[in-house]
Amino acid sequence: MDRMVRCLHVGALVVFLFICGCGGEPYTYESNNELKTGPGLFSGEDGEITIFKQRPTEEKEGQEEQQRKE
Amino acid sequence: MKTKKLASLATGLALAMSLTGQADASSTADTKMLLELKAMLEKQQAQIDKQAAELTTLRQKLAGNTEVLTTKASKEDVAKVTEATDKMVTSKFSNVDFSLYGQIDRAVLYSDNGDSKDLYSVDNANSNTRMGFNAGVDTSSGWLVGGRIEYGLVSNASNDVNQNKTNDATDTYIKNRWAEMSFKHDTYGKISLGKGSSATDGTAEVDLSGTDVAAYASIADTAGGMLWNDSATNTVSGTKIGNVFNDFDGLGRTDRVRYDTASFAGFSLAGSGASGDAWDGALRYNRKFGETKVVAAFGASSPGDVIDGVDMQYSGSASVLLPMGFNATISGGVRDLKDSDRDDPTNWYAKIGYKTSFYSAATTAFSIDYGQAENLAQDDDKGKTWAVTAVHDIADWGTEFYLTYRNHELDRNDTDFDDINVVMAGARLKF
Repeated sequence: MDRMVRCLHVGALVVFLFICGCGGEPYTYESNNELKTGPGLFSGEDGEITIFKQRPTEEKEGQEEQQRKE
Repeated sequence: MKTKKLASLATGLALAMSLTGQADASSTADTKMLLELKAMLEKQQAQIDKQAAELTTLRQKLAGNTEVLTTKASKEDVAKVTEATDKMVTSKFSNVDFSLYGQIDRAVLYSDNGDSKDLYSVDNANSNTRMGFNAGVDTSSGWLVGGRIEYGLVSNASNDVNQNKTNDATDTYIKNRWAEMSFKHDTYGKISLGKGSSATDGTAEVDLSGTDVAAYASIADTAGGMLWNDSATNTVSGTKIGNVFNDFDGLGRTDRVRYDTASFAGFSLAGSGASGDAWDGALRYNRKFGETKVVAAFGASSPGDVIDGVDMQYSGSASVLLPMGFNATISGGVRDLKDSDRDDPTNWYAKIGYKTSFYSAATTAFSIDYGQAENLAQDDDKGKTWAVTAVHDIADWGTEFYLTYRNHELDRNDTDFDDINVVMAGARLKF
């Protein structure tokens, strides 16, 4: 009987995880307590004050331009 | 005589005729020559006109090139000047990100423990004042090599002040929170080395309510230093709120080596080994279904020497935010103590909330929560707490204003403590 209950629990867990894994979109959780989420007063939308930033390559620039057009 | 005159006349006529004939021939030759000269002149004029036109074109081209060169030089000069003034720090590499971040979180805390009422100016320990640097380099091999250094800059922390320490309550103003390097790959996951979050850090504290800056699973952060008052004898005890409530949130931030798998269908695993014979592991789930967000985490840790007297610790939490703004959060944890004679401490916490926008530039979140903690300070202790909280977040200001009221109750055998009521109002500014 115990074995059957244990199997049911494991089965329920597997089904639950399967349902959770199906569908949906990726989402990145950011703890609001680690640092306030969203824009900053000086840093604006970035939320961080950029001291220096990657210069976009021609390929990236092209992709960004394409995204802007879309 | 007459004949002689006639002969002379004839001779003169002939001579005149001869001369006239010669003059006609000469005139024809001149005309022809003039025509040739005219033709030559016209041809040369055409060539001159053509050369003039070519010269004009070349002049125009030269003028255009000069303008381009002048403009280009000006832009380069401006760029050089701008770069010199805007960027005091530069990198010779093109693939480097380096940024500064931080926040200031200050509040006024009112506390009433049944005996004394006090007002404190505090740094909100729910999410204290801090500042840090993030650095990252995108390598050509697909690895993101990064580093993070962060310090807490805390004076009079809300969980340090109490009836006996009303000011200057925090011993260490500047405290290292992060000092790590990391290597991240989209397929292989992330390896972190140094001071930072352990694998189980945050497993008891996922929260989508938007009010966690003032109220969340870690009850003791708001006013954890406050002392309970024995109502029978009217004496302040040695027991703090922080001795009664704890959300058992893994190993926290520690000196560790940590590995995180890449995310698969919203699931990810993490494990870390820390100084002090501690290790832990965690499973996380983050997913979005339309506008509904779901986050959950579960962790198990062996604290070793990091937390005295604890064999194992388990913690978990989950939070759901629906599109219309309603949200719910639960958290729970248990400690397996080495001392088998003691009851294992447990904690659970639940919150419901609502998030809305009264106007476009701001979001306002409300929540009500309740929590219970047992057996932490001693066996049969039962701490109960509830709170109402409001947080108004003005995005353009990078600032949240918050107000929370929390009641703390402690049931202990043979002792009757007064409730501790606290109100905290403050603001968190992200710069």
